[in-house]
Amino acid sequence: MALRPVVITGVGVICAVGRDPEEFWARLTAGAGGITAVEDERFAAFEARFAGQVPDEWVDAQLPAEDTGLDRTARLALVAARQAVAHAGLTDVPGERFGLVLGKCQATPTASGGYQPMHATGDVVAGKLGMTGPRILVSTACAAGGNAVGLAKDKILTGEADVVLAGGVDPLLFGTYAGFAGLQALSARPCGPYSRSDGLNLGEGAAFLVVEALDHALARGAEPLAEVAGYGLSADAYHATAPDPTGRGGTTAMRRALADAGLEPDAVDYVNGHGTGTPANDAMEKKVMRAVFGERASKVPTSSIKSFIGHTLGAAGAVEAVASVLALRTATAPPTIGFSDEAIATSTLDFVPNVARPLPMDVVVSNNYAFGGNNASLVLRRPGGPREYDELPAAEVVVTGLGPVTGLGTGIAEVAEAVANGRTAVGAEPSLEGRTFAPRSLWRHMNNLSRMAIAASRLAWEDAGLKLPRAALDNVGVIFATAAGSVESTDGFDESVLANPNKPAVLSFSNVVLNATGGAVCQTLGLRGPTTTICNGNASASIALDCAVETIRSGKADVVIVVAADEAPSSADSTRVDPYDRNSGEAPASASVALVVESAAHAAARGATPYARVLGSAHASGGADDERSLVERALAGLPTEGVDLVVGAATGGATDEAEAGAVLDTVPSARLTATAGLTGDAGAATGALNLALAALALRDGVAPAITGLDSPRAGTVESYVTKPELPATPAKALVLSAAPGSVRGGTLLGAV
Amino acid sequence: MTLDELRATAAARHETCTQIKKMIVSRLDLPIEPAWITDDQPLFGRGLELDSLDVLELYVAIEAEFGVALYDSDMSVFGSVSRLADHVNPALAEQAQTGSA
Amino acid sequence: MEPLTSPVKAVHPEGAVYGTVLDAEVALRFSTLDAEYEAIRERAALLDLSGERIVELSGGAAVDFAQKVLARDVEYLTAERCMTSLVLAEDGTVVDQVVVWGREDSLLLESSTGAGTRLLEHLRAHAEPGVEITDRTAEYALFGLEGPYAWGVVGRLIDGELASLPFESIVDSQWDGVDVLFGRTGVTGEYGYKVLVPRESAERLWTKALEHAVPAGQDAVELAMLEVRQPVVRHEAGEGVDVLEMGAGWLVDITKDEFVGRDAVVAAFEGTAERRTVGFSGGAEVPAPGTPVTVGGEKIGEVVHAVHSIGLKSSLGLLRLPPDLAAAGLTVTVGDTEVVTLTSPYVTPKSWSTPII
Repeated sequence: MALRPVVITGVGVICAVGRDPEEFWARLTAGAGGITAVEDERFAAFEARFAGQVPDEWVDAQLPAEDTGLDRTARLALVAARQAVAHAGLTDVPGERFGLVLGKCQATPTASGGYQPMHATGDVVAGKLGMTGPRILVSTACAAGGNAVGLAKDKILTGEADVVLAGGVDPLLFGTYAGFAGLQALSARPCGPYSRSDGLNLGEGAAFLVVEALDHALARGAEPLAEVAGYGLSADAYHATAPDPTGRGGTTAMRRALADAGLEPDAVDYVNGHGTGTPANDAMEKKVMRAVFGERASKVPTSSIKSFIGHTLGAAGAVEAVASVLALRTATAPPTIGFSDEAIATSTLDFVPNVARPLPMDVVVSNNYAFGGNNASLVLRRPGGPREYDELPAAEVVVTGLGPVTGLGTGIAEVAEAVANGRTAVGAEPSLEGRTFAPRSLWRHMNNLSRMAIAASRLAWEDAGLKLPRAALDNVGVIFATAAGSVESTDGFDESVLANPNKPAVLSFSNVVLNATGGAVCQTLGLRGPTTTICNGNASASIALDCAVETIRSGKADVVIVVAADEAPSSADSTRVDPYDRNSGEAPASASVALVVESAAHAAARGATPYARVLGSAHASGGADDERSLVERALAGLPTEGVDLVVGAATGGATDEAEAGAVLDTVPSARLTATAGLTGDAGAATGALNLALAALALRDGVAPAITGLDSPRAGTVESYVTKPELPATPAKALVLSAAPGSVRGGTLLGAV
Repeated sequence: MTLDELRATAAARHETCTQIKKMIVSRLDLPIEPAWITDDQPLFGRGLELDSLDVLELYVAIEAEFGVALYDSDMSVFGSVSRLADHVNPALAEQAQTGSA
Repeated sequence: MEPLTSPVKAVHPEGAVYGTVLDAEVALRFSTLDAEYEAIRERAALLDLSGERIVELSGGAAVDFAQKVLARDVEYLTAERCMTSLVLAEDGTVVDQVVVWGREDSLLLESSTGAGTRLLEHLRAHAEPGVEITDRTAEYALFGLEGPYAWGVVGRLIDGELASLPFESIVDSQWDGVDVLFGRTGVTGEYGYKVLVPRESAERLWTKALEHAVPAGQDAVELAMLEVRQPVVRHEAGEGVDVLEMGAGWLVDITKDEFVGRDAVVAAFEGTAERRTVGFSGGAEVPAPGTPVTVGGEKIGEVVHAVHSIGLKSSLGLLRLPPDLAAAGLTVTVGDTEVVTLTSPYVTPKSWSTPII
């Protein structure tokens, strides 16, 4: 099956060796590194004081005056984003057809000492560049940037966007630096990936690539720079910070990427490695090269851009993808710098030491290996000519297991009973007592967020009745959705750094990266399939479900767990929440909800009884319009005739009005409800709970009810679900998700 | 040494060992009573199944609690609670013999 | 039952010395204790583990049954992992120490040397419907490779990738076209690996392995185990000895809700401790089990077990003492000899400072 060819038509980058792609490439080919001593006095606390820093002047010189007051993350991103858009010659892409997939590892600090929502950087970039199509914040730690390019390709293949800007960004932040220092991962010198391997340096920067279909690029007269031939994801399921020493995860990601590209390992001309310079990573990568290329391994040149700019975390994968594109274009392999003569003499693989090398190439693979054991591999090749292609096959996808871990109950039986009896437990802590969900040696390392997610995933798995052999588990995907990650670990870590930057709480640090919980789920359930982490506020779960459906449609997995989890920032007093009511309170909550999503064929073959079918989805992102228009744009993308039940994203606040108004107008036949009245606002988990209880309603005819609705913000009480027992079991349900002002989405579920 | 002197020596070691066990249980959030850990049992891999992240936590905890910086020591300091006690309480180290290096 | 004999006895080196350990005839020494010990602690030793029984638990109730009889939790033991656990009697005494190997639809229990029959009897006595207990020893041979460079032997003999398996990981692999089960697990504190090979191929694998590693017999292995406080059940357990006295509580998961012997262990933990175990060294003569331990002529305890330690160049053993005296750093008298009590491990494995490359 040959899918629609997707190409890259523009690149942008700002990092320690260049303020733009020209300078970047010139320095790489000249072997001129950019890792320098950190002057900031706070860093004097650390023995290791080298990093790949971007001079402020480079950033500000490329920003209009009105942007120079933004936070550093946004500024770095805007610089690179605009370069890529200009390079691609994009002038009038309709906003709704123009998407953004942004990889970011670190939360962006606010002036007052807190953090912006993860997706805020994406909103700023999309806002300034006029993108109102798909908007995804992917946070698979060090693999996020590369992962973003793959996801961008998916959005083109599903037809959701015509052009997607894919990239990554991360600034140099003191807290993160302290965390890596505490893990003893830093080198006290400029790093020596593949040579000295005595630790990594951190770096900062941003990079973007414009991704569009080949036919779309040619039609507008743009020049394709490289083809995104394929990508592969995998989970180590091994450890929070150490890579699987056997290299199995990295090997699997590369093999999946090559399979996606329809290529054999023999076709690969150059590998752009992850190459952080830590002993564990470098040893593991050598194993991966040998496992994938066998005897040819020592003849496949592989080099590390991190030897020049350090580890730029969320930007790394994107920067390295840009380097890979330029390598293809100029038929030059960039070197790995830092090799001594002795290191060159004793190398067992070809690391292109110190000096760039002319190398005609057709196929390049770019690898990223992240904390949490997430691996991403991207295959780029020289663009071919226009050709025939098949559409991405439609596949029937069903929901076969539900695993809620909420204050309302743990497990679908308890929660279903609570829904049927109209019980509420707003802001209550979920209980994990009464049974174990994982081996104790793993459980004790897990923070509360991961524990909830592991429990939810285990419960959903058991609810789905899945019994898969070991080999099949290796292909089960996990898509993790969270708005804010672990508040507990972030606070704990930040406090420890404030108290003494040399004594950071390392267990907390390993849990600060947003994909840590996803990695923990993979590790405890032994799942090694495609995996990613979505951080789009309360809209994360519906976007994650989209990713799961795309993964199944493209044949990359038959079973995917979509698991969402978030923690209340602090425990709140129990408040009454009646979504859509003018007098409702709002209350944060902690919860995790997992759904088992499966290809209908796979479910049928094993005799499973699904809850519901996933019929379709649509997402729209914020532009200049108001919230109500944003909701309407999301709904416009869906065939809503025949929808009996709408489970909305409402959480009791003022934005409920926009949603209610839009829904009652667009889907007059349906009755509207929400789940936040039962549990409070559990962030991404509320989005997943909405999906879960809609699926349950399609099977059982019972839905979450808003019992205290007196003065609805829109319509009349009759338009809402005020009693759990529905007049008839619905045939179709619409589930809404919302990161207000940013992304609104809708997912259609159908009865089986 | 007399029986009483031996008891006093043993008590001094047990006190340090107990302190270490409490620190390990609390710092690493283990679901067991500190007294369940024996002085001589393995801590890594087998035994308490501590891993590299736990060790980093413990280095910090040991410095906070005992004022001893073990960061650059080799792994054998974590050979057992009793071995760790030698390192954090110099008075014990003088009395103990630790066999071959 | 017939005593177990080694399936590769015919290709053991000449001059091997045999002995009976409970229900098994095993090679106590292949050459000299010194050479074998040196192989374990300095290079790589090959172990013939045929004195152990391999018992399979299968059937729908196998995991529940395993949870009942094992003192540690195997609920989530996957087909890629193994673990070591005690098997206790109702009264809390030790029936055996087993390595549990996770399999797709069953569990394999590897007994300790010679204790297989006792283990089988105990399992069958507690059997329930839905679980099949099968002695599969006759189908296999089990070999071990232990030593600071055992990983190198694994690389030369089987596959370099297997050498870096994480601790207690197991994997289905091939050797010379034969399906084998390979695991990273050991007892001496050095890098340790085990290979479970079908009996028909055992001689071929043993012969090939001899080209790369020195065979070490039961004596050398038990000495090395004692040095790192890995329980040697046949010397340390016994009637009336509870796991806490043995110092083997770490092979029991007290947070697991239910298993045979749990009540007794909890009672022992909550009750008054009467005796505890501590290691000692000193003296040239090896004291026999039961030898009195005295202080100023007053008996305070006795010897559990002792051997001559090549690493320490003196006797090394375990003492049973009252809890208030069971501590390292004391000088006491064993028989007529002054000895000193030790912190563990009594010998530091060289593997702890030798990286796998």
